[in-house]
Amino acid sequence: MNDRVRLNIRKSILFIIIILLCIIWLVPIYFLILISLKSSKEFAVTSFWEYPQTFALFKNIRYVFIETKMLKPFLNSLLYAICGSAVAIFISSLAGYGLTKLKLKGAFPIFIIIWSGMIFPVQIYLIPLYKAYLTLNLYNTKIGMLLIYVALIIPFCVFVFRNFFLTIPDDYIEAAKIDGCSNFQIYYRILLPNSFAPMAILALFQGSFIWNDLILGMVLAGSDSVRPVMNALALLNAVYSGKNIPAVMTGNLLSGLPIIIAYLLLQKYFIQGLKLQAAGE
Amino acid sequence: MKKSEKVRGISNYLYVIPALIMVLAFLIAPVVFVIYASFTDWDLLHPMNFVGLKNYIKIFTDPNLLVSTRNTLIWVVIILAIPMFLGLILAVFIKNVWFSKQIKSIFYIPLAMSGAGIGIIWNWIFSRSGLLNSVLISLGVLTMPTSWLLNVPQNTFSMAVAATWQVTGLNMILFLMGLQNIQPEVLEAAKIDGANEWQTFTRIILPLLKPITTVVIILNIIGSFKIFDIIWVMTAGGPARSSETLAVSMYKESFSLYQMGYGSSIAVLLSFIVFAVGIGYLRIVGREK
Repeated sequence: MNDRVRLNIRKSILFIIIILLCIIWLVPIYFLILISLKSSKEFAVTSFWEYPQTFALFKNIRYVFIETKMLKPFLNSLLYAICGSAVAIFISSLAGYGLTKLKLKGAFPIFIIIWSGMIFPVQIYLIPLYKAYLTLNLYNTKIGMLLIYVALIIPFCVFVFRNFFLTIPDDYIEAAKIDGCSNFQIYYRILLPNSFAPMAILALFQGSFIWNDLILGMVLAGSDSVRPVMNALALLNAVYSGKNIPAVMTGNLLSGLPIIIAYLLLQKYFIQGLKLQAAGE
Repeated sequence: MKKSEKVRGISNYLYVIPALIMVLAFLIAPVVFVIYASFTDWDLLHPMNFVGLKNYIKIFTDPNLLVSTRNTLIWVVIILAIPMFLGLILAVFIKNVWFSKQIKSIFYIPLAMSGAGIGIIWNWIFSRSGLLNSVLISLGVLTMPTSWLLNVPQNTFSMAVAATWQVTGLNMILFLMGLQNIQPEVLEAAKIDGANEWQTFTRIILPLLKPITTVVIILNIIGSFKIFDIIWVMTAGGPARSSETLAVSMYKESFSLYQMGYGSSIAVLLSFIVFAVGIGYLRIVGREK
C-alpha cells in the first residue's frame, strides 16, 4: 500500500513536469490564434493576453488576402503542392516499378543516381538553378517553380516506391503475365491499387514540403503571380510586424491551415510517414 | 520475334527515364556546375575567371564567415543538447503518465508547421513588447524589456529556442521507436532483480537506446546545418550579420551581394559537411541491418 502511494506521488510529479512542458508547447499556438482574433487597433491599446473584445478574424483574413495580396501566393502554393506532389508521385511510381519488377540492366546504378538527389542540402542547387532559369526564361514562372519542386521530391518518392514494390512478391507479377497482362497493365492494375499507403504518406509529406518551402521561392520567384505562400508570409512579416501584428498572425494561421487539414485527414499515416522521413534523410 | 523482344526490353526503360531525366537535369547537373563555379570569381555580370582555391581560402579568413561558422557550431551544440534531451525524457516517461496519447500529439503539432510560420510566432514572443519580456517583467526578473533578437549571442540562443520547439517532437518519435525495440522481459527481469526506476533508466534503457541515439545525433547535426527559414524570418542573419549561419551566409553572399563564385564555395562546403555526416549515418544504419 505504502509502495503504491509512493508510486502515485512519483507519477504525479512526473505528470506535472510533463504538463508544464505541454503548456510551454501550447502557448505559442494559443497566442497565434488569440492575436488573429483581434483587430490591430484593439491589439495596440490592450494587453496582448486579454481576451478579445471584438471578433476581427474575418476582417483580418480579408485584409491579409486582399489588401496585402496574399491570396494569389496562397493559391499558387496550393497548385505547387497538389500538382507538384501528384506529378512526382506518378513519375516516381513508374520509376519504382521499372527499378524493381522489369529486370532492367543497370537498375541499381540508376537507382543510386536518382537517390543521390536526396543527400544534398537545397543550398547547393540555388546558384545554378537561378542562372539556368534566367537563361531559359523559367525565372519567375509557375512552370519553373513546379519543375524544381517535382525534381526535388522525386528522389525520396522513388526511394519509398522502390522499397514498397520490393515487398510485393514477384509471383503476383508472374501470374499476371501468364494471364496476358502487359507491363503497363501490371503497373496500373496490380501495383497502383495496392499503393495507397505510400502514396498518401508521400502526398502528405512531400506536399507539405512544397507548401512550407521558403528559399526556392526567394531565389526563383519575383512577383506575386508566381510567389509561393511562405514567401508572401515572410514579406508580410517583414512589412507589417511593426504595425499590424494581428494581420501577420492571421497570415501565419491561414498559411498553416491547409497542412493542418491535410494532416487531420491523413492522420493515420502521420507517424508512419515521420519514421520513413527519418529513415530517408 | 527476337527483335521485338529487344524493342520491348528497351521500352522498359521508359518507366525510369522521366525520373532519371528530372534528377539529372535539375539536381545532378547543378551540383557539377556549382562545384565548377566555386573555383571562379563569377559575379553574374562579368565572365567567369578561374581563381583556384581562392574562394575556399576566403571562407576561412573572412570575418563574416568566421562568425557564421561559430554560429553554426553553436546551433549544432544547442540542437544536440536541448531537443534531444527533452525528446529522450518525454519518450521514456510519457507512457507512465495519464493522457499520454494526447500529450504526444501536442509535441507533433510543430512538426506540421513551416519554419517561416514558427519563426514569425517566436519573432513576436522575443520582440520588445512581446510575450517573453512581459512575463519576465511581471515576474520581476527584468526591470526593462530586452531586445533578445538584437544582441549577440542572445539572438542565436533565442532562435535555437524556436527550433527546439519545432524538433523536440521528432526526437521524441525517434526515441519512442528505439524504446519499442526493447523487450519488456528485460525490464521485468531488472525489476525482479530489485533495480529501482532510476537504475533501470541509466543501466538498462539508456545503453539499449545507444543505436537510435547515434541516429538521432546525426539527424540533428544535419538538421542544424540546414536550418534557414527560422533564421531568415527572425533576424535575416542580422543585426550586422551577427547571427548568420553557413546556410544564411551562402544565400546572402550569392543573392544579396551577387558573389556567385564565393557563394558557390560556401554551398559546396556546406553540402560536403552534410554529405559526410550523412554517409556516417548510412554506415551506422547499414551496420544495424
